[in-house]
Amino acid sequence: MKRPEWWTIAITAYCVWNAHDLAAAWTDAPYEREAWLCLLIWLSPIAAAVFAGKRPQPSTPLLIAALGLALSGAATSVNFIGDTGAAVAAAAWTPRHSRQAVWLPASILWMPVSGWIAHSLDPMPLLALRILLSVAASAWYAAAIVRPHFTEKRIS
Amino acid sequence: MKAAGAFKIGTVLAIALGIAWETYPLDGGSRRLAAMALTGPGFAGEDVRLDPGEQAVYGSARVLKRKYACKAGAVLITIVDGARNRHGVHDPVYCLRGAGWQITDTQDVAAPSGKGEWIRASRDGKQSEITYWFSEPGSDYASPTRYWMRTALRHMTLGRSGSEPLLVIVQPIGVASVDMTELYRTLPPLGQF
Repeated sequence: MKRPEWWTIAITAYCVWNAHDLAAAWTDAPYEREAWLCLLIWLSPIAAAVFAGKRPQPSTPLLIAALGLALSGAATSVNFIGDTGAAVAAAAWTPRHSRQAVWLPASILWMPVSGWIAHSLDPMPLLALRILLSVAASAWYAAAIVRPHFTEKRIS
Repeated sequence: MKAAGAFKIGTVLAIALGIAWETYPLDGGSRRLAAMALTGPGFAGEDVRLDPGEQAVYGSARVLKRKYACKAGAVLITIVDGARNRHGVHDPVYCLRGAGWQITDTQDVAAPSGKGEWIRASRDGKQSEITYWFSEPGSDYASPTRYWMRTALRHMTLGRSGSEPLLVIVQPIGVASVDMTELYRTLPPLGQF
């Protein structure tokens, strides 16, 4: 398999670095403690693709979109935009499939913005709901990736 | 090949621009915080140290935390300037809910130059209330969304779109409630920074 080019790794690394405030949120914000579990679950399709030997070449359009979002997040100091950039950068490294269109928006579940949107709920039930939805979206996508006859599809 | 080279150079420049933008030091509201008088006719204040939990939450944001005693009563005032760390400024309702408080009542209230929000909350049988607003020179408002939009615009324009809004939180000390109109009258610094 062809090695990824350095600029694809640079964009991904920048987008991940740009979302570094997530660590502080997971440490200090009561609504976000343990929300890192949602990220671990959400990343499982990438692990599934690696173990199934179906790791694709990164998607250039998604990486450009991720860089644009990360820059917008940096310029506005709005974490949600930067976090979305990190999610899109991660998605660039996953196989293209229509189920990605459900899995990628599910990234909001590990972002602090979902805690803010749903803060009328208590933190623990909200965390349970976020984990449950993360498992559902990630498992559905990962199941498609690990199928023996998996073929990449364009998101329609 | 030329296009690929330009693309790679563009990537490096874009990342450098993003890092420069993120680390650009914005001018904050330190002069407004310094203008908040500690003592004066009919009122006396005392600075309060932030506890370690507050220090972690506010990070590099500038924070003034002060007890004041005046004719309206005793209050704890916290003013947060998020110019150096906008993410240290949170929606107070979100913070209360996260700390396990149940919001039992909310009301729009007058702030010195606009509108604020009064909140009553309870936890473990204990009642508490706070009043908060976001303060810009000549304009106070209680909407966190408006605060985020204003500060996002400030970051995009590198501080040229206006003053940094400050978050002001007022909590009564030792009593269940404080008359805010009387407080603004007897604690003039609240409306003068």
